[in-house]
Amino acid sequence: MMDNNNIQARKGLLPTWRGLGRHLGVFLLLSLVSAGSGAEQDRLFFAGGDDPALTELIQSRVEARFGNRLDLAPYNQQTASDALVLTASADALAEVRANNPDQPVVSLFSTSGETKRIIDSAGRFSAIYSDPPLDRQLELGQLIIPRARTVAILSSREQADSFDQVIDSAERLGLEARVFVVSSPDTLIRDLTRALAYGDFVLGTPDSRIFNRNTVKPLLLTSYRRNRLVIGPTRPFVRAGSVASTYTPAEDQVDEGLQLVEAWFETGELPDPRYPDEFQVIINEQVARSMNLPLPGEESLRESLISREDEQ
Amino acid sequence: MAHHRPAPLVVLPLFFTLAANVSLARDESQSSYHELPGAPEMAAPETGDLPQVLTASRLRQSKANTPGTVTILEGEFIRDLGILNLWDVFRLVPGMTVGYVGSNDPVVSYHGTVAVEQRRLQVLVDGRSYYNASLADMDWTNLPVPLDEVERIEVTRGPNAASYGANSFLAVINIITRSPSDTHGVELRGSEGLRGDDGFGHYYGSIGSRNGPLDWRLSLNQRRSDGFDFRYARDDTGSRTDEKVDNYDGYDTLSLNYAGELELSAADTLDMEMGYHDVHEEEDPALYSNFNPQNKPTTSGEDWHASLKWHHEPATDRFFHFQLYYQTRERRRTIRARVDELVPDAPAFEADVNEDLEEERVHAEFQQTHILSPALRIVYGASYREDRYESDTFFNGEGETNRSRVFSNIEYSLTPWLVANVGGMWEEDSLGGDFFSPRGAANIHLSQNQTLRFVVSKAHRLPDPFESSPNWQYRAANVSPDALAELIEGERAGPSVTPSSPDNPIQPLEEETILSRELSYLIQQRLRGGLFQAEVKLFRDSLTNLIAGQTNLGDDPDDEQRWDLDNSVDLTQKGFELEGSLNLGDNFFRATYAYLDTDGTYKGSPNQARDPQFYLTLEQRMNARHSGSATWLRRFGGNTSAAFTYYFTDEIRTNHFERLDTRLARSWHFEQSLVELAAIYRHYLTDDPLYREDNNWADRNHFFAEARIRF
Repeated sequence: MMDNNNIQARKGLLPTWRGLGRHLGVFLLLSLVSAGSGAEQDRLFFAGGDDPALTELIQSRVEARFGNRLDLAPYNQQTASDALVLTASADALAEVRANNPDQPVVSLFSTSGETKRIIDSAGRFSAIYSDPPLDRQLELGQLIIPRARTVAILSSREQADSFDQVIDSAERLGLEARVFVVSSPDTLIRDLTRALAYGDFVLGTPDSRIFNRNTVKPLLLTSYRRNRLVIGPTRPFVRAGSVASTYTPAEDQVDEGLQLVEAWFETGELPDPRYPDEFQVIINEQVARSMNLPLPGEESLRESLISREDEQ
Repeated sequence: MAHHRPAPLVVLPLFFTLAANVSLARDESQSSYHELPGAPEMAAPETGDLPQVLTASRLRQSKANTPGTVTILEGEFIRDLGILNLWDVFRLVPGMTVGYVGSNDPVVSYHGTVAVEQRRLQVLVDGRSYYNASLADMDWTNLPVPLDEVERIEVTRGPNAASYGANSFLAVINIITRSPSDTHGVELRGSEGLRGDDGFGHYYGSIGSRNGPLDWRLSLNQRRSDGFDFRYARDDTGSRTDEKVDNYDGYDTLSLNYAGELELSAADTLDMEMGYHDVHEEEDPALYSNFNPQNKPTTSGEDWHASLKWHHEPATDRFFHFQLYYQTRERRRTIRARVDELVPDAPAFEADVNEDLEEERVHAEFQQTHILSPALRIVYGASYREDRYESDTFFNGEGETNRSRVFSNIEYSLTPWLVANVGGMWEEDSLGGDFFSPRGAANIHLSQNQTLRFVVSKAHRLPDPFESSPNWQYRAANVSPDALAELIEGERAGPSVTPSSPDNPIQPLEEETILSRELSYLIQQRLRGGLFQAEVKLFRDSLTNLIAGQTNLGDDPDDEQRWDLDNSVDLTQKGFELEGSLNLGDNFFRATYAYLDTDGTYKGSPNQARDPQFYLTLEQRMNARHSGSATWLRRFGGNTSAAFTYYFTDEIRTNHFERLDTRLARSWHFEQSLVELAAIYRHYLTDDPLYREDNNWADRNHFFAEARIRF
């Protein structure tokens, strides 16, 4: 459950016939758009359009922001090595970087962890991470459980040392955070049980070796039965049964990504990768009610988070 | 009665393991653990999708929507307070009292009534009823539930026959143990009395894991106590003197439990439980003074249980469970009796008499839930239970009762602020005919945080076989001298309560009835930096036809202490109860208080010779006008915690109870393990005996040490 090394083989590099058809459709769509554009255009290349809905969304946001000024073209092996590429998945980012490590890239829909694993230097690269910043998630946890003093973080062995900053942020908020390493799928419950004995809530992280489709049930059920809340890591987890999370709608992620694109075309530089500024809060009211925990509304939580972020 | 069959039970875990392996081989593709990793939902939170885990069948009902007041105590909270005996937990429940009858036998009640053979509570452990069938009462000492395995205890404070059937009369205690899917790894825990109660020891060990689709846990629990410190010696007439003598009322029990949870498919789970419990209890010889006991009587015994529960959830809005369980209980107690003069000028003799008893129970239950819309939920089901019992002494043989039930409850949100619950159970009992127990409740949500409840419910308690058809007389065995053996060896002799006793004292008994009215208010309020929750319950309960009287042997119709049970008492109980908690930063405060006012009416019975007040008092022995508790839990960072709890009961019989418990704990979180050390100090604020004059501690201060490791 925690091995995602084969994702590329499964998804990107071995397209199925259906996938091929979809690629073709996206290609046609983009070609059509580029055919109608004028001569004064900048050109943005786009990679990772597996999902037509997502491609369409990006297309429409590009149009809304740049009108005719920007031409969106599909990325391929012939794309010039200094042209800016917008990637829409971790796989696409990996592919683009593998083909040309110096290609300027703006990455979308890739988590901070995935992105950092692919990109080891910041040059000619920027990103809007798809996962919510853990600082924000921590603050959400604190707002929801005002009495919280301790936070448990579950981590795979590989990522265990990447939480120093979160632990510092927790300390700033008056929370003690502690990382519990899940050494193998077999020890998930054992390690979770220790984590639950420590933390007032569990902070979900974008570590997909820990938080994934296969672990969602044992993670959420065991925590619930021990009367511990799980914050995050994503919106689907909240639907599945974690109590709340912040998230940034795809549209906002694209818009913020296009801000980076705009900066590139205006200055020839790419700002540092960052988490999205815009966000929403989602809560699972049924779970909160069942745990006899009255919650403020989603909007009120969002406003509190914004005002906290503004204070800092 | 069929004897319990240990061999098949021993084979069961093997079967479970085999079943798991077979299922693993067949079902590997369906097991969620073998699917490919699903990272896309992380990469694109907008498009990812996960199965709903906390579905309606798994979520607990919020307090705001329960059709009656329910006190919920988390296992973790109980352990944090330093509670070492399960029955002590109920001192935290408003309206509940705890006493000790007989030879250090704990009794728990809600809204009091009788102490000896308290039979008006339903006690369930993971859906299994632990209410004994024949001599109906609750054997708390031998409830095979390690405190370490308690996930939570839900006490429905009020009759809940609509959900749990007859005998869910005053309250229902529902003990839920930890799922084996939550307890992987090894846990060891020991508590030892160091001073004051230095014979106390509690040792627990469990090991669990997941193999294929099977989560399992095996645990062992030993509990021992040397009981109270002293009692008062009796004089020749049987009255207490001032002389203090050692109590002989300890116990030593051992439980071995297996729990398994087998994932049959995405929609089906099978819960399996089985357990063995070994009993050794000392009995105070003073309780057998009529026999002039020549030995120190002990009770030994073995209990077995096995349960299968199948959950089927094809969709989140409809699901059912089917549970089948079997349990046996066996007790052996032999008293070497000495009779100096059976009739004038007769020679003295000695004989063994026993109070052996065997019981077994089979229960099958089906329950289906339909969520027809977010506003409408229907639960219905049926169950069948059969109890067999055998005792030469109490029943002159064996007997059997059975009970069939159908039940239903409809929860309907008429408007967002009004939730109505209407439910009922119809049951037919082989001893007592058929009954209907209805319940209606309206929960009015005054605001998002405040709820007002109106509840009316009715329940029945049926007389148990011992109350309604005893055949109680002792049989002599191993008689000496030999000269008398020929006469009485193997004969039932001496005082009796049987249908053929002179002026047969056994009255035909009817069921008892309770009509309970409740008005309660719940507030759950977020505070800056905390959470406040409070619940107030006002009640007025009418208990009619209560079976009151004495359960003593005797042949002489003029003996006023002789057996005289009859439906002779009505009680009206009214009062109010508070339960509140405040969670503020590192501090957690909780307080409970209960006020109970009882009016009794004696309806008279031709065979009850004593003063009416005697019977009324008997039915109020566990009543306390004032009782409550206050708790302060304080954490110092993530590793150190302190708990202070004050309990009081004013008063049970004539005894005032006040106790202060303190627990200090420090834990260490190592990379692969958790270690916790704790010290518990228990201080009794009064020298009053606990319920019975013979239940005394020599020292008001008790110290315990506790250690726990999990890896």
